[in-house]
Amino acid sequence: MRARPDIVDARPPVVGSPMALVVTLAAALVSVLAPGLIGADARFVAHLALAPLFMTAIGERDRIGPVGAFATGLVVDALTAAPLGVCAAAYLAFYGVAGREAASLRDVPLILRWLFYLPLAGAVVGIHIAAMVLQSGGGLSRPQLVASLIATGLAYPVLSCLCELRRLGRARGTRPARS
Amino acid sequence: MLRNRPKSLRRWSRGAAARRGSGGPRKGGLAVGIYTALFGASALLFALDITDHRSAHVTRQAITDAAAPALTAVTGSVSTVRAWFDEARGLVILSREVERLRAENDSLREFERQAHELEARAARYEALLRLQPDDGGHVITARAIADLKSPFTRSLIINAGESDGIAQGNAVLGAEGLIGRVIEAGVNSSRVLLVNDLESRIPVHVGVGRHRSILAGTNAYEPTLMHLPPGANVHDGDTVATSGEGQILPPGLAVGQVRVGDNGAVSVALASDPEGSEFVRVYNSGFPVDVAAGAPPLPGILAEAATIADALAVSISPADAAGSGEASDGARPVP
Repeated sequence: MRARPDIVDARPPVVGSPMALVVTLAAALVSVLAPGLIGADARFVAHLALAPLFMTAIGERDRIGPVGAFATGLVVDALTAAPLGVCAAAYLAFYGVAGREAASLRDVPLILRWLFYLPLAGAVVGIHIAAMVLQSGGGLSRPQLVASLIATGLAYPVLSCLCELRRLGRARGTRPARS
Repeated sequence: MLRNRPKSLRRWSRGAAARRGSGGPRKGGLAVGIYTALFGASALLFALDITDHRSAHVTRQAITDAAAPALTAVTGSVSTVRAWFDEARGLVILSREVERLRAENDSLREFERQAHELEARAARYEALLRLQPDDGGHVITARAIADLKSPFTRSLIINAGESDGIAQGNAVLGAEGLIGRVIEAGVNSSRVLLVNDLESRIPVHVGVGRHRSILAGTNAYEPTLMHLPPGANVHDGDTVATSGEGQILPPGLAVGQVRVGDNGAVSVALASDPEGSEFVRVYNSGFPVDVAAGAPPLPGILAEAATIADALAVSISPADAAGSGEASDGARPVP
């Protein structure tokens, strides 16, 4: 599953890996549904799709492409009743900024990548919340805001660790037996 | 191993060069063009949406329609897991529930007897008044495939749309009463604005005095009543039903009961839990939605404002004002 450089570069820059797009869109759907599935009193705005988006942007996984990032943001806009284009633009900017630093981020430890991810993801959450506040006139309490930031912030290290465990499991499974 | 090293080194260096900047805006003109076009598209969509342009609604509904199968799958699979947890939790509290239900059963028997009595009495009154039965409308049962809760909105997506006979403005009912109305009807899915959403405003009648009021969502669990007539005689437990004013929802749909707080704040305990409904009934009564046939539909917020203004204009008509002046307790006669 790890991105192969020769294949990555051969792909057109507009549309990336379909599998990466499916995973990111699934994360977007789960994040939209998450508050409703957890319970009636759970009120937060989770942007779980930012984690796979970040991983693809820095080349940790197959690329998703700017169109994929834009489409994911648009789906989030449509399903959360946010003004159309807000999350689409935010996700696109997030993907672009993370992609710019891909070369320097790829080989650093997870904690440093996470530190880079946190402010970017926080900005996306902030933009979304600000747009919703301006549109609906409602508000967000401090616990809700903290829950939103924690859910979004933890998504990347959790997903990254899961992917790494899966990769190690596969590598162990395909190791050739000694004769 | 040694033979492979130069090859892998070459591959690494080629990969590193290729990966550099991968995913981000390419330095080439094509990448800049793509990013510019996408940001432009975002700005265009945003502009269309905030001006309430029809194409923005169409885009949003098309995306919802496309996502409906995936939402169904995700909701279904996760709901199964949640159902297991709920079942386990239910077993723990089962014994306490049995005791409570036994006591409740005794009181319900008494209520049942009273209900039968009232039913028979209502039948006699209907016969006396020669009431015509409700003719129009049909009910479509649909499943809530996505419960879109957030601090800002209370809405559902249901798996039925125009192809099933659902239209914008249709009332959406839970097991016991009104929970919302259809605000966007797609081909196979529809978006339902719940009555406790901040943007929801529904003209209602309150209590036996049928005081006109507006049921206003606050994003809290229970909506409130706005624009109650001064001195309206409203008590805890008074029934709240749609009035039909504003020509959005048909009259007489049960909504809930009045709950007067300790500080005097009036809220409505909804008859049906709007956020716990897995299956809903959409009532297409054929009730007119647009004021003038053939006129272009008003943008959502303007239509909402027109509805409220219409209801308010009715509630402060001169005849009513005179009537309220005569009534000592502020209660107005039913028109």
